Formats: sequence, C-alpha cells, structure tokens
Amino acid sequence: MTRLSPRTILRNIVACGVLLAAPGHAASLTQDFYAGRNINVVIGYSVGGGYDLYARLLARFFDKHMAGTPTMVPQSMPGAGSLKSVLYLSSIAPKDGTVFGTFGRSLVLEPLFSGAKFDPRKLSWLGSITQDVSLCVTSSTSPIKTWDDLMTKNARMGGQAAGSDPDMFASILKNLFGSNLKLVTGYPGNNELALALERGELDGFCGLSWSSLVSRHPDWLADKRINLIVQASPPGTVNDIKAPQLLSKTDDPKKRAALTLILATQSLARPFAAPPGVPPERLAALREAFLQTVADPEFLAEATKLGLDVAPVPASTVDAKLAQIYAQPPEIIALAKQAVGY
Amino acid sequence: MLDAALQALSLILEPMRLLIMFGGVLLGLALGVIPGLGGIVGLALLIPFTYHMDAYSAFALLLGMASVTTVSDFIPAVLFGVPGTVGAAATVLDGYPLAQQGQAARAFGAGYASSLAGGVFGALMLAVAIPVLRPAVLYLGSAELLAFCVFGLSMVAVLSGKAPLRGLTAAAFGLMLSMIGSDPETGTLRWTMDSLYLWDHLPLVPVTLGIFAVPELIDMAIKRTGISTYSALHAKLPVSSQWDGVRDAGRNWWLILRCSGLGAVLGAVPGIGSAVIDWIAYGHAVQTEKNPENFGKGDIRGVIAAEASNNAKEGGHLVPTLAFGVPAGASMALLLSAFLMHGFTPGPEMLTKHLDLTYAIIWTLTLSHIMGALICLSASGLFARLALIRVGLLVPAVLSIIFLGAFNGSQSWGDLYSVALFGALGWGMKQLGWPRPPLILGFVLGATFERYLFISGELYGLSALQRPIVVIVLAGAAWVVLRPVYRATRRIIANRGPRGRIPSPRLTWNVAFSAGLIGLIGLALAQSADWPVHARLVPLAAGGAALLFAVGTLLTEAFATPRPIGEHQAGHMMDSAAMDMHGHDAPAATLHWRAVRIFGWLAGLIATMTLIGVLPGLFLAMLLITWLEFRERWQVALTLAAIMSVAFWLVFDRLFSTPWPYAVVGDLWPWLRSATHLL
Repeated sequence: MTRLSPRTILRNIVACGVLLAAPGHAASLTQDFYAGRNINVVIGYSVGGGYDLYARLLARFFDKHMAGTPTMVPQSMPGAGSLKSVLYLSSIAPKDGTVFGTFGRSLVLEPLFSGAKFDPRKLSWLGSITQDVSLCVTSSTSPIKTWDDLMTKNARMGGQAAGSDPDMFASILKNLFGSNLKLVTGYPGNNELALALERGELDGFCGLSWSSLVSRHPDWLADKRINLIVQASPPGTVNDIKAPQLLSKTDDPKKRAALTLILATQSLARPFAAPPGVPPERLAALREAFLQTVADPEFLAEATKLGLDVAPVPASTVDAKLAQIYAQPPEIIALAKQAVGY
Repeated sequence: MLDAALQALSLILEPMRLLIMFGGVLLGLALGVIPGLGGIVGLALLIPFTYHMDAYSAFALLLGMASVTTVSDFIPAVLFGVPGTVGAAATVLDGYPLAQQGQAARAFGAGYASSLAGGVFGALMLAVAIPVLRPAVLYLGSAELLAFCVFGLSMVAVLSGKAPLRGLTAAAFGLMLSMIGSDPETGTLRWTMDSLYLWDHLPLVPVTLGIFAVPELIDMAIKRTGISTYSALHAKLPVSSQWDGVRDAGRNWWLILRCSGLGAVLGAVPGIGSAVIDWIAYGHAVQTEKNPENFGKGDIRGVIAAEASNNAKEGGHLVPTLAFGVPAGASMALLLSAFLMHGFTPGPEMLTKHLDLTYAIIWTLTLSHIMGALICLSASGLFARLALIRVGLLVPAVLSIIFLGAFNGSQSWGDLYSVALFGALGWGMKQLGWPRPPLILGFVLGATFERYLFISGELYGLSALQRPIVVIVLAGAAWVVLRPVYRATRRIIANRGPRGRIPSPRLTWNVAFSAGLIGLIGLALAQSADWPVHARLVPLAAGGAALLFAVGTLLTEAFATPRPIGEHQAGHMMDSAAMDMHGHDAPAATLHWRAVRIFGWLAGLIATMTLIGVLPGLFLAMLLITWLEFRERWQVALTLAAIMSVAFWLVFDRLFSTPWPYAVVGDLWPWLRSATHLL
C-alpha cells in the first residue's frame, strides 16, 4: 500500500455521499455492527502515565456516544516507547473498526527520522484530545535566567533518552541555535528531572509540557521557583505563557521550516488512530463519537478534576498536518533530523 | 501533627472504609500467592474502580491491597520454593528447606510475625520522617543513588557463598543482561537481536520466575517426591509449632529491626527495587549473625531477615512518592497516577495541606499489615494442606500459573520464551552449584547503575567522593566485600599444604557450562564492537569482567583436584535446595531420562502455545503432562486442565482483558480468532 490513490479518494467521496444520502441505512448498519461488540483501545504505554490517563478517560465516555453502544476495553501494550503499539495498529490489528489506540506524539516523525516501517498518513485518524506547549525551564537559583544566558553560559540541562522530548528540544537549542548547554541525559522520567532541578543538580530541562507544569508543580509557578526560558509551540500559537516562542528566535527560512516540522507534533499531543482501511461508515461513526466525547460536559468535568487539558484537534487537521510534514523537501527533513540529534 | 494523625485514624476506622480495606487485603493476599502477579497487577486492576470513591477509601483499597502482597508471597515460597512476588526470592532459600524438614508451620509463624513487624516498622519510619521528608529526599542526588547501587552490588560477595568466582561471573553476566535494550544515553539498541521485545530491556518477572521458580518445579517433577512426602508425615501440623515460629521472630528482634531498617531505607531509594532488597537483607544477616553456615539449610533467621525487609520497604517506597512524586518502584508509579486522579499533587502539599491523607496512608499501611498477618496466621492450616496435593497435579498447575504470571510481564511471546530460557539456565546453575542471587543482583541494579554512573560522572566527577552519604555507603560496600576476602585469605594462608602436581584437565558438566557461558559472552562482546563509545563502556566493562571470571571458573574447575562427593556443589550454601542426583531412591538413569522428558514437555508447551494460542496451549499441556507424564487417570487430568483453564480465562481474559498474542491457527483461520479472541 502506498499513498492515497485518486481512486481511493473517489471511493471515500462516494462513500461519504452514500452516507449523506442514506444516513438512516448506513447508521443502522453501523449500529448493528457495534451492538454487543467490544472496541479495544490499545494504549502504547504502561498504566499510570499521561497517555494512559487520557485514553482511559476517553474510553469511559466513548461508548455512550457511539452507535450501538459497544463495550470499551482499554488494553495496555507498552513497548519501545509506544512504537510497538503503533506498529500493531498499522499492520496487525483488525481493520474492521473494533480497535483504535494511542501512542507517543513524536512517533509520527519516526519513519522520517529513523526509518521506522509504518506510514502515519495511512492510519484512520480519530484526532487528538489536546494540543500542547512544551517549555524549557530553569531553577530560580540557577544563573541561567534568560534565553541569552542559555545561549552563552554553560547550562546543565537534563534529558531522559535519545529521542525523548527533553533531549529533542535541548538538541535543537544546541544544533540549530548554537547554545553552549550541556545535555546530561539518562534520567528515568520527568519526575526525576523535576527533582534534580529542585535539588540544584541541574540548571533545568526542556520538554516540560505546560499542562504538567500547571497540574504537577503548582508551587513552581506560584512561588516563582523557576524561570520560563522558551516555549516550543506550532506557528501561530497565541497564549499568555510568559516565555518567548522558539520560532521567533530565528529568521532563517530553512531553520524555520525544520522547526515547524518538528513542532507540528505538539498539535497531536494525545493522538488517537485506528488501523488503516477501516470501512468509511464505521470510521465516520468513530470520528463523530470522538468529537462528541471530548465535548461531553461530564468528560470535561472529569478531565478538569484529573488536571488534563482538553483542546481537541479533529482528524481532518491531523491528516492535513501529516500531509504537510511528509511533503517537506529532503533537505528540510535532513536539517530537522540533524537538529533533534538523530 | 498529632491531631492530623488522630483525625486520619478516625477516618480510616469508619466501618465502610475498614470493610473496603479488608476487601483490598483479601485481593492483595490472593495476588501475592500467585507467582508473577502482585501489587502492580492489582493496582492496574483496581485504580479504575476508585474513580467514584473518596480519596481515603480509594487509598484504603489500593494500599490495603498493595501492601499485603508481600505478606502472602511468602506462602508459595515456603511450600513450593516458588516466590509469589519478586520480593520473596530470598525467602525460598531457608523457607523451602524448612518446609521439607516438616517445619512449614514454624516458618509460617516466623514469616508472618516478621512481615508484620517489618510492615509496621516501615509505616512508623514514614510517620516519624514526615518533618524531614523533603530535605532528606533532596539530599539524595545522583551520586548517592550510584553509591547505593554499588552497595547493593557489593552483596554479591556475601551471596556467592563458597563459590566466589562463580558468583562474580553470574553477577557480571546479570549486569550484561540488564544492558539488553535501548541504551538510555545514545539510544543504541544493544543486544536486541532485532526484536521489539528486547528493546525495552528484559522484563523482571519472567527472569525471576525462570531463575528461581522453574528450577524447583523441574526438580520436583524429576524427583517425583515433591513436598508431599515430607508434609504427609507432618500433615497434622500442630498449632503450637506456628507459635514456635512467632517466638523465633521475637527472639531475633534485633535482626528484624536491622533488616526492617535496611528495607525501609533502601525502599526509599529509587531504582533499588524490591527484587534485590530481600537479597541485601539476607546477605546482611549472613554476614553479621553467628553460625552463618546454617543459612540456606533451613535457618529460621533467613526467613525472618528476608520477610522483615520485604515488608518494610513499602513504607520506604512511599517516601519519595509522597514528598516529590518520584516513584521508587513500578507499583509506586501506578499509585502516583491514583494520587493525580483524586486531585492530589504529590509534593509539599502532602506534608502540609493534605497531611491527613498522608497519615491515613500510614494508618492504612499499618492496619492492612495487621489484617494480612492475622488472616494468614489463622489460615495457615489451609495453606499447609496445599502441600499435600499430589506432585502430578501440582507441577502442571503451578507451571501453568508461572507461565501466565511471566506472560503478564509484557504480554508478548517474548515473556514465554524468556521464562523457559531462564528456567533452563536457572536449573543448570542450580544443578551445578552456581549461586543464582548474584545474577539477579546484577540484572536488577545494572540499568540504574549505568544510568547514574554517567549522570553523576558528568555532574559531579570525582567530587562525588566529598559527599558524606556517598562516602558512608561506599565504605559500607567496601566492608561487605573486604571482610570475607580478608578471612578467606587468612584461611588459605593458614591451610596451605604441600604443593602437588597440577592435575591433568578434566571435562565435567561444570567445565562445559563455563565454556558455553564464555562463548556466549564472547559473542555478545563481539557484537558490541560498533556501538558508540558511551553505549559501549559499561557493557564492555561488565562483559570483560564476566569473561575474566568465567575463564577463571573454567580453569579452576578443569584443573582442580577432584573433591570428595558431597563437597562437589561449591555454591551449596547459597543454593541449598540444589538437588543431588544420586541421593534418591530412583536410579540415576531414570532421573536423567525424566529430566530429558521434562525439558521435552517444556519445549512442547512453548511450541503448542505458538501454534494454538496461550490458553488453549496451556490446557492441552496440563492435560497431557498430568495424564501421560505423571500417569494420573485421564478423568483427573481433564478435570484439572478444565478447572485451571476456566479460572485462567476468567482472570486473565475477562478481568485483565489481556491482549493475547497471535497464534498460527488464528493467522490461518481469522474467523476463529475473532470468534474466541484467544488466538
């Protein structure tokens, strides 16, 4: 299977037309299909993490918005930084609309960067529950207080592993912006990075999402315990976070294009997708249910209680973003790859 | 502060919450008994059910469950030599021989009493430490974490028994095993053999079950005696002997205190993990107690040390979790998500605004340990009767449970292959007198050791040695290592006899085993040639050490003067359950033939599962092994296989919604897969 052929597109349009023309019939077929069935929600991480929380929350409210009220069954399938689950969804999982899943946001870049063997454009996307802003922060006790400090002084910034968000963004600062920072990598997770920052072992770290900063470290903001150095967000982002945008730090069109490519993943922060080739009427029902669920007041109340951000991104936007990413010329992809340190 | 503590107690003592906690305790005890399942599985299962509970009830349920898995994991360890959770492996060493000597009840009594004491100690330490919790955790930097890892590794010296070279080889090999997977620094895929399964490192549960549990079952199947011969003699366990055990624990209060302290402190250090804490405490007991030669032969102090530390660690685990939201172990990572779900942010607030919840957690730890110990004490008679089950029913059933427990590690085929491979390795080590604990020590601590070696190297360099805790802990490690070396050297100098001729080389099983290991290590080292320097450094060091020690072992084994029979098993002390092929009624040929058949059955089991799916494969294997190998009546075999399979299906398929890996039959006939969801 390669890219979308005109025929497939035509078929989808016809299918959509049929759907519009005979909604009652198609809907009742979908309803019949899902009645009494299970939908497995495959989660690429172990229980307890952010992706897991989002997926289980979605699963709890999804059934009542879905034709036929199927039983939702969340399944953990951790492995290789969720690559295992995305490979499962792309090739092995049943394509009849009874499975969808979630995985790491930056995995959609893996085929470009590391040659992972799947095509994110082929997945039947449901959308993303939220978009995210990623920050570089330093401790208030550290001499690194501003962007200029970070560029010129020898900051000790923490990382987790090659390819993880903290390492990726620290590498961008080094490779695209010529920062002198020293990346100390190998911390097991964000919690350990935060602790290392508090005890002064590190100056700071990158890849901290705004939502986890607000929910996990309210004292950091209230007591001014950290400096917000820079925020990594897609072009056109407007928010009241008091940190300069990473994109505003360069005028070089190539660097901006490479950055835009990497930052696009921030808008699919909690992605959900079904395997390729799900029958169009079922996919339409799944997408509809997804959008209804993330707008459900009960869902939103629960998300607020859990401290989870909700800013839905519909499937069409995800498809458009991916098409854009994959249409970049090779030199931009190579620059982006070099920037994140592959 | 006392107010908060008392208020929390009154909240916890509300009848409904007590009932919820009791439910949690029952589930926890059940999960602890089943090898491979434990607190982690329980938490994953229960957390979604706590959505609609208030926070106190939720934590009464969750912690009530999680904290007692380490009380009951002791039962299969004593009865079958199969640790119920990774934390009970050290208990097997003395608990199993005690059961074989007909003293299971005494072991039970001592075990529960020390579990209770350890659990309460851990909770108490947490309560006392509240005011200094945050400064204390802030004081533990990467350099300190590295020092604790080194201290843990130093226990290899004690746990190798009388076979130091073999112990060191095993430990270095364990270190190498921990390096399998994607390297934390450069992302290099080390020794993954192009499989996604190995990308995330070998999971702990299949390895521990393979190394410690499978060999006991294989031996039971070969000897055909199981535990029943011994326990049949003592079927009517006098209640008093259980109280003997409790009194034993009382007599050894100072040991309990030390091991509880060790467990609680090490529990608070992220990365040390429950799989090694029990071994470190056991090593400590061997090193500091009088008459250490009795350890491993059914010494009640071994049980006491392991159980006290294993239960005290839960309180320790909660220290960094509550104070900073840094989970000290896998189960704590899950608990962390429960905190967030109920709107609590671990951190300073837990010690100020939410102090009552923190105290409620401490009370829950205490009360659930009391409940767990009391339930187990009163149900001991029931558990002891398990030992009377015929070996022909016991081995297939427990083996299936072990395979499913291992499979729960990461729910892929790899887990099943791992448990079988490490089972074979573990059995080989046991047969040939290689100490197994050092392998686990290296395996568990290896990843953390490497991680913090690089981080603290970059951040502190040699100035790490100016930090007081680093110095104290490293000095402790040096003492652990150097004391036995010093004694051994003195003994050798004293006993040096006239020098004989070097005998000509012999070929024994042990020589072959060492040679095989050398080949494997050499192959692994050759593969590492093109990794980046940072990804190569620690594997190269570990591999080099393993190679050196293995060659040393080979030479000593090949050129040593043959020793009289009985002394043959050099690692005997640390591996007392090691079987003596010649010491039984059945002739050696029969035993050898049985061993071959058992391994045949194991290979067949794996092949069948690949072919027709995990659950159908286990059903067929249980049926055939019970019927053909153990010569039970076919009706009995069928009943056993059916009952066990239905139970497995209910628990794993319905309750845990396990994604079963795809089997060949399902690939051939997809309709069969979609109809059953099992293939």
